[in-house]
Amino acid sequence: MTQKTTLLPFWRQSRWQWVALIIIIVTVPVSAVAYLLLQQTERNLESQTFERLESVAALKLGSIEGFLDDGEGELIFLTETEIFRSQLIALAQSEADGQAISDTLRQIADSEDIINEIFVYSLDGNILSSSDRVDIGKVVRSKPFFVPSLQGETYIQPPFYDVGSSTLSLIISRPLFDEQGSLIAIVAVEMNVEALSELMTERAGLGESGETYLISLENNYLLTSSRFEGYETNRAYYSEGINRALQGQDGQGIYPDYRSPGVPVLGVYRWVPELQAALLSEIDEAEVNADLNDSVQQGILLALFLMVVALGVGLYFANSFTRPIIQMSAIAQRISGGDYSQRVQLRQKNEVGLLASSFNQMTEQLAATIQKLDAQVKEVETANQELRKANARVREAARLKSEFMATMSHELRTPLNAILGFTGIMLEGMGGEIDDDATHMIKRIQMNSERLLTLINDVLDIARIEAGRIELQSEPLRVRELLKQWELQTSVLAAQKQIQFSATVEPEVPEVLYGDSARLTQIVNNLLSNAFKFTEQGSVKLHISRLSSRWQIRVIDTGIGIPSHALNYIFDEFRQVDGSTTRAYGGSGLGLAITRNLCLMMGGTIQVESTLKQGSTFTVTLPIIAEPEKLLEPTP
Amino acid sequence: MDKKISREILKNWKVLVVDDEPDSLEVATRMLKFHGATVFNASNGADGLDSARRHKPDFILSDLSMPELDGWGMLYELKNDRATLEIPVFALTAHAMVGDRERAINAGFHNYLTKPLTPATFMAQLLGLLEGVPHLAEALETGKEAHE
Repeated sequence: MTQKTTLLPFWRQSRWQWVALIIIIVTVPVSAVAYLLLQQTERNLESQTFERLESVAALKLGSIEGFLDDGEGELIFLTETEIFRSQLIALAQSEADGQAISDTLRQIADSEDIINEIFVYSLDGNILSSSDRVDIGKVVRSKPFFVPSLQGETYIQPPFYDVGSSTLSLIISRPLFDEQGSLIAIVAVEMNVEALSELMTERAGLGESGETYLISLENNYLLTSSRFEGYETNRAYYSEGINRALQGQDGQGIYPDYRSPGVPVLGVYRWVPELQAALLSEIDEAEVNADLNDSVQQGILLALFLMVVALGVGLYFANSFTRPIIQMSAIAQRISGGDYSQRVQLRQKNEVGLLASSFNQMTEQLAATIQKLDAQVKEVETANQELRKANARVREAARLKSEFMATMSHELRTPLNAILGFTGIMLEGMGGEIDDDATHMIKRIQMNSERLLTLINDVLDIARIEAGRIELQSEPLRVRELLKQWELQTSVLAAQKQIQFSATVEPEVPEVLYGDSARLTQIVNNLLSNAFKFTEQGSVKLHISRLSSRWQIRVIDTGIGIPSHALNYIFDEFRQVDGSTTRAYGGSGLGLAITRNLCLMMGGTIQVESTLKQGSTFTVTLPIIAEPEKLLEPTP
Repeated sequence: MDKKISREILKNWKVLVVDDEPDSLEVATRMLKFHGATVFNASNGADGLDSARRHKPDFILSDLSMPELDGWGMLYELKNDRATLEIPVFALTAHAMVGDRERAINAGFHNYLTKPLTPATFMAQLLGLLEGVPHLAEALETGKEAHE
């Protein structure tokens, strides 16, 4: 009775299936929510970033405006303030020396960071005076600002590439009118683009990679310094934001930076009409997402934590589900091994607990049933043993009975033989004369003795047949001689009853057969004595014939016959047609049973045909045995 | 069976009957004597052997199972004695002893008679057997002269 618990692979164990299920149940929605939150965060971050960029852009636009206003303010100061206005008018009307006023101009220019140079030129483009003396006398007629500046209004010339200085120049000009209101000269300032650049590169709130810069429409040149490339003035710059802004659009977007297509940036772009330039405020997406990556990491950590929690919870629940099941299955296995002592130990009050208690009940019932069955089996075994013993006793008794019968045969027959012998001697007159009365009585003694002898012989024969004690001889039979012998014996009977008797043999029957002559004689005697017993008049015939490989002994009488219903059982032991027959005709009722058994032992059959009051025919059919079987041949 | 057996058919015959049952012995003796024979009796094989040697019977009827020396043993002794070798011995067998008849013939018995012996059949059967022995058959035919 080995207890072997079947171990399933872990993926088949319901505990781990439950754990997996709970992990999935916990993790999938959490992950989905985390994913959505991340998306949201990303979008929030982006929009926040854009907002910041927008505000930076707006701030910078304000700075630009302030920058330009400062320049324009300086020109207004020069042209409207009486002291300078009168000097400038005098300069324009050639009443003052350009050299003299240059110092004044230089003082003003030097006091202002945003101004490189202040200069005054005539309506035909000659520089009358400048804060930079070197420029006095130079001609600005070919400069792009010259013609627009003559329109009579403040004009801001967007940055242009000045071949002379090989730099981008930003010029603001203002017309100078005399007292009569006639345009007499133009006052201009060349703004300090580097100062503008400084304004732009103040990167408030733009993190590590943020920058704000201006790109001039003129040649896509950098107007302000790049955070990454410095102040490169001879290179053209392109990006989606730059292009859109230079086409006059304002907006925002995520696009590859001018640095490389591999560096996407979040950018806000503005068209700055005053400067004919694009203002771009940008930050690397990577930096923006750095925060997001932190969020992702936190999210992953949270998810892992949740998974661990789910694993713990799942294991707990799965165990509470599966423990009783595992327990029950182990107990079920023990039960199948014949051990009914185990019970499921469970305190759960739910359906599993119910199942467990039902299981326990079932186990108890099963144990009780098995016990009952075992008891019954034991009872049956005991009964069987007793039956076997009884059977053995019965067989032993049967053996003893037949042994007893056999030994009794001699003892029973000996006195009878003496009686028969002496009565025969007396009746034959061998013992002297006896009178008729005595003869009659002695004949009765003889008849009864003969009946008694027949009975004893029959009973003993049947006993021996039943005990298998009869061994048949295989001796040569001279059928015709045997027939003569039988005829001789029977003729006495026939004469007594005055019944015709004939014994015939067909020529086809072989001269010599093999068999047991004594037993054959017994068969024939039985049949003949029956025939004579039940025949009152007419004839009895004994006829021997051949039927291919068999031979037949037929006894035909014209007696009372046998009713058809009796034909079935006349060969049974102790049966005659009915009880009255025994009284009327005598006999043990064993003769035909013995005959039939002897026929069967000889490998033959016996049959009967009969018509009531017409007669009966008994046919014994035996195999022709031409040679004795070697086994039965006695060795010389 | 109208052929009446002559009363004197065994006149001057000497017959030895050996049987341990006195009744059986007497019945056989009476029937043989009735037909004129001189009958010697013995109740076992040893006595039978003595008697046979002494009286030289014409034939012997002997039971098979007997105390001291049984029929088989007596036959063996008779056949080993030149003086008794020629005497036909007929076995007296019981109806029950099936195998005995065959064994008896094989052992050297001349033939057998089945018990019980009744006057109705005994003489007929006995004469039938005697006719199977040539010199006895002749004796039956001619009638036996008394020896000495």
